[in-house]
Amino acid sequence: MEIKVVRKILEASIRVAEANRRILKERDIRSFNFIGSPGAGKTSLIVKIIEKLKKYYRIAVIEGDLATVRDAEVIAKTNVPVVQINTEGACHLDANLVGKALEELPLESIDILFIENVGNLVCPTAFDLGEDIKIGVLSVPEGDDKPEKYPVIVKASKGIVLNKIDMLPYFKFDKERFYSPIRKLAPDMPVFEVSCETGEGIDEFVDWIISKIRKEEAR
Amino acid sequence: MHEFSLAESLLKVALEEAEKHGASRILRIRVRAGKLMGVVPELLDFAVKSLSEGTIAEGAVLELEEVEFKGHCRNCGAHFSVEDFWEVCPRCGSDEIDISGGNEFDLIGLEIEEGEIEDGNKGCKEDP
Repeated sequence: MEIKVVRKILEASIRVAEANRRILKERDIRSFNFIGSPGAGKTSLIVKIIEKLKKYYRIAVIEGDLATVRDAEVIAKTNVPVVQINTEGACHLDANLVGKALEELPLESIDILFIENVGNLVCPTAFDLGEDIKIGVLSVPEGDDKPEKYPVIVKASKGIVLNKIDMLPYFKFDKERFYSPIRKLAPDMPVFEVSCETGEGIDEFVDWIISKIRKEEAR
Repeated sequence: MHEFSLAESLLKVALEEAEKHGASRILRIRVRAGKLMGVVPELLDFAVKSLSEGTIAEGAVLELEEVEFKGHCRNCGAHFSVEDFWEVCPRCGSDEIDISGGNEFDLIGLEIEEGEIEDGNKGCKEDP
């Protein structure tokens, strides 16, 4: 017998994501989900912007990793509350895991939540965590072809960071090749060229984060 | 390889629907997936096969329909289906295209067998 049905397969996950979104919105917390390859510099970037922002905002971090608490330890040195999620092999965070992590944070005294996703350029984009904004983190050593090869991350992000620009002299990196697919997919996409090593470009990126906090925008 | 997560949710929903209709077996599962879900059909198939062992969905055929993006040309206003991010407008050739959709991931149908689950006691029931 044939059964016709239309059901969202991820309905349960979508419900939890919406619940997370409500929890954050009720407390006026702005949340950012950082997605990028292992080694793109997501943790370093978050540390850099915490240093700039923590004078003015109360920040918390959710750290997603397959295993180990190394990144959470790095973040903890900035003296902001951090919760480590170990996915035990899963290649992405999901709304359930983030919901559990939220229970461990002092939500009443937070203005900004940074979520660092598991290092992966593909899978995390398919899962809504309940965040306001996804940020794609790419880096010079990964190559200039990443936006073209991974268009979904460009499509899913509200902002793109090109990290490790201090390495440009050492790599064959054609900026035109990097930018052209981004311009095609998302003509208004802000792209921030930064170096966590030299600090170059970090201020511009931090200003953009602040503008996103001040301006409540529809997802 | 997030297909295992997706397959887990898929089976949960499929088994719920099958139960509602008193199924003893699921023979076929029809799914619609948008391109943003990043589903590799072979991997989803393998994940469903692995996870359905020991359930009434064991051995079910997974039918995956891929949903194309919706395209809208900023230059001439045409609307069309987009298979790939780098296409140009089929009407005017412009590459200034807005791409939307791709988030679909739906169960759209099941083929089931109804009736008692065979438990080896068939024929042992007394006639009324």
